Amino acid sequence: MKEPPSSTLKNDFWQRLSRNRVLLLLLSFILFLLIWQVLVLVLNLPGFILPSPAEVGRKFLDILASGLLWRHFSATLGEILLGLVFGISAATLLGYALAKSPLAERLLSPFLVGSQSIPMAAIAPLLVIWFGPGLISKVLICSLTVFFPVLINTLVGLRDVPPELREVMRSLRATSVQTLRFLEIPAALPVFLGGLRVGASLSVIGAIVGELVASDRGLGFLINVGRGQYDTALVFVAVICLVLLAASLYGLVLLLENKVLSWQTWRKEA
Amino acid sequence: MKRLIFFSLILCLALTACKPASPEPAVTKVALNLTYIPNVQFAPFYVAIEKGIFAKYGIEVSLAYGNEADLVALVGSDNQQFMIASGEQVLLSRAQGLPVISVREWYKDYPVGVASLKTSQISSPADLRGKVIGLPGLYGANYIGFEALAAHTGLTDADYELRSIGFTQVEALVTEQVDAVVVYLANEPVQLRARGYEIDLLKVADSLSLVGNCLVTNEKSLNERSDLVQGMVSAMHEALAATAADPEMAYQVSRKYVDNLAEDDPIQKQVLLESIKIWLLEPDPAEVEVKRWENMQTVLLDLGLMTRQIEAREAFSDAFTK
Repeated sequence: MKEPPSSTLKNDFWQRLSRNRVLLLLLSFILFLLIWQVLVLVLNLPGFILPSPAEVGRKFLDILASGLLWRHFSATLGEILLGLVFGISAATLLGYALAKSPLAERLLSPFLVGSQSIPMAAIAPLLVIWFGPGLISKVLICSLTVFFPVLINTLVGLRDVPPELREVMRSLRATSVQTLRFLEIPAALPVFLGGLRVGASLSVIGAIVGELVASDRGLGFLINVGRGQYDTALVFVAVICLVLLAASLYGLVLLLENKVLSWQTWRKEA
Repeated sequence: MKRLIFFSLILCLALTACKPASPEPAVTKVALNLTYIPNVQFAPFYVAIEKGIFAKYGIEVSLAYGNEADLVALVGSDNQQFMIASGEQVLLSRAQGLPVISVREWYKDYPVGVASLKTSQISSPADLRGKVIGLPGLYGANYIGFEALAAHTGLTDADYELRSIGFTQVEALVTEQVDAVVVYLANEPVQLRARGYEIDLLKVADSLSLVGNCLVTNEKSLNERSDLVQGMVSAMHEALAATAADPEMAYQVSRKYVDNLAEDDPIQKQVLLESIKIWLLEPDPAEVEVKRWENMQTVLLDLGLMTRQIEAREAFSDAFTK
């Protein structure tokens, strides 16, 4: 029996590799660690400037075992979840109201767009002064960060409902609640979830900005502690946790999208 | 049966009503803002809580941390009553109309200095001429301390280059991005020496006497809750003495409040010992305090950070330390 040529085997290998997402992720992670370790060896910087992957790994295990990581991780997670709930609720309600009322949109949109040019890092200290250094200010900062992308996508999603479909609903004498349930929500959902994806990732930044300004818990606080004690490995652990948290939230929204938009056959094919 | 339960209840209520009221000691809850983040430098306040010193004065303290300038606004507006703030922040706030007032100086010396590697040969303030100096930013105690030192030495802005580097003084110095850095005496020099770097340290306090950190409240609390202010000042005084007398005990107590603090971290223990050196364990006479406040005000006016002069004597009260 004739063996396939080596070039074909190679092509097969790369094709299989490119299809295996988990393996690719693992390989990219190993490559990242290798580059990091090489940088540590080549630059020969002290650990408080650039810690090695092993130092960061040790610190991760230490604070995981002592319960320190979970205490701060759960605090940030709580702020983010509350921020998402309030931010998404407010943005969706206001987005719906603006989509229904062009007058309200014309009145409020300059303020809404203008508010986005204010850097959150500049306004966060003021929110801490007004609402105190506790949970409320952190949740508020987080909500404000989430608010805008969700609002805009809600508005765009509702505005983009094809007029002919609205005409169909009218001809069927559908009530406004029925139109919302059977036409507007399903039609706006893809765009809305796009905004939610952005908002979920940004919510992590919102919570951290609040914690960096004033807090006594959370991953942002842990970064401050690490900086204060010249424990850069601790800073790295906190930052990596934040990245994983943001990626997880993004992934959750993707899962949600796949679930609630399963009726879109083209998505499945894609 | 129902009647029996009813009468039993009545009897219980009657007995409760007849019971002489036990005199519960009144406890006042206050928030104390320490600025920055939990750190072994704040050991006296952790000791005061854990060893019952605040409780002895009928005070239950909850600690908070954050940006000094933001927190001064909270105290000035009476949203919170106490904080640790630097003297210049008190003067700047009062000049803006915020009624904050120092009731107990914590530091006897201004806690800022200029650190450089031995190889840079900066052994006197005059050697700073032509050098690049790194500091967190053009604000706060580091900036004011450096400018005061430079002006006292006869240097002008043209004689050196200030570079804002955030709170990365140690990193910027050892990687030689700058020639010298403005540091907090109790922290960065300890970190540098512990990592084997030989440094020269120019202390602002060696050149001029400026007011450092103090316990700050607002005029409303001062006038309406003088008993509470007295309690806070007395507790702080006792806690400073207890910490200075037994730093090891204070360090171990701090571990409950400072995350990531190992049981036996020689660097952090040294930070505590260096901190104790600059504490004012026994308050100075009023005339010495006035001089420090006046010197600070002169620096702020010269820098243009204060546009109007205030009565330095109004920035602090020594009524609680007598």
